[in-house]
Amino acid sequence: MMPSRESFLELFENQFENVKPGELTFATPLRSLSEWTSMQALIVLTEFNENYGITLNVDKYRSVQTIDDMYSLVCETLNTDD
Amino acid sequence: MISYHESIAIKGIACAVPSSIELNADISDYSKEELDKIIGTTGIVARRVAKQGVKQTHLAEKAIEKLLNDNEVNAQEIDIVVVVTQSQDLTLPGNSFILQKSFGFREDCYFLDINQGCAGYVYGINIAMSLMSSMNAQKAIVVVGDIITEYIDSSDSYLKALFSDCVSATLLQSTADSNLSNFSFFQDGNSYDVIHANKDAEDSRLKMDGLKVFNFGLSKLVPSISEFIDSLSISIDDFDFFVLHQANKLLLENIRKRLQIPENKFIYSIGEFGNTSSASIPLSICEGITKTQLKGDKKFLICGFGVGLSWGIGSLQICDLNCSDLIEVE
Repeated sequence: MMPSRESFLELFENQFENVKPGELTFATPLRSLSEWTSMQALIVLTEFNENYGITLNVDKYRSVQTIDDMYSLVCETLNTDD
Repeated sequence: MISYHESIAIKGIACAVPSSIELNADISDYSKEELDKIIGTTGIVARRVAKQGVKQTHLAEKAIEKLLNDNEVNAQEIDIVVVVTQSQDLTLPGNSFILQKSFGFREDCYFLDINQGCAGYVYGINIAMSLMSSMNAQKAIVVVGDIITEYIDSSDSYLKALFSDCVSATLLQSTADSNLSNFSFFQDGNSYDVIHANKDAEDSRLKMDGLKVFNFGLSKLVPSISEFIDSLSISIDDFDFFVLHQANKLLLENIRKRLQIPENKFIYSIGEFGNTSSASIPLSICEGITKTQLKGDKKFLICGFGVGLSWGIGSLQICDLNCSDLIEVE
């Protein structure tokens, strides 16, 4: 089942130690987040796997610019897996 | 495909590591916050790093010597020696030739050198068991492990934080007991370059696409292990210990939770030893399980995965395994 935009944003925010609830928007560029490192990318990938049962295409994952792009990729992957 | 072996037992394991310890907390290229995240995500606190010039056979000799002594076996009794490594001392011949000279293994002993990485322990044990059956051999030694840090660029802090050196030796012996073992193997050569070192390249050191390796682990290992267990008509509950290649704690915990493996059955050595390539499974058995826990008849699930990409899964019945005390080498 597709996650709602709100629940997705909440899940994404929860992966960051230094981000307060409600601080991020779908337009937030990932590169603007100081915590967005290679290790953080693994954590988010794992969280998507555990919550949505998916593994993302790594090349597409790397090309994601904003949280909105990330949401679209997750939805696209869920659609493909169905 | 699943391989079946019977009446062959793993009797003993000995592991040798360099005495030199490096701490991830001491890596100077990262902030304290970044280091905390690296240590928290990978689970790696400390690593063993061989001094420059130390060869794979140097650690292998220490491990074999300890294995033979602790199991009261003479080198002349060994019928088969399988060496699995990516750290050949010489371009040719393979390390088994050097080890034969060191220990005086018989001329009619069967030797095999295999180029394999983090799945190498599973490959090595399966091949040794196959050879023992076909040759009616009584005893075999499987040597696995690398001086993997020699492939790491010292300025590459990402890889430096992961890899660690270790070589292990495992004694296999034919037995009157049924002692069933099973294995299953997979390879994806389309991804051969995800982890590689090219001797002809300007920079011949290890290159790894960490995100792709991690994603491979997330996508392939749980289904493969589940299918393997199902095909044997047994369940997760039938195993006493699960020992997976020690690649990354975040990945391993994901696998443990998805397979619903109890924490006390899931073995780690990654914290104190890092990613020790093909030696991480035998090292984890010896350092992550107490001698008391090893007493009696125990069922192990082992899974190695990495370079290739390749992955192998094994089910082993082991009785009173004799794990030698860890050898620390200067």
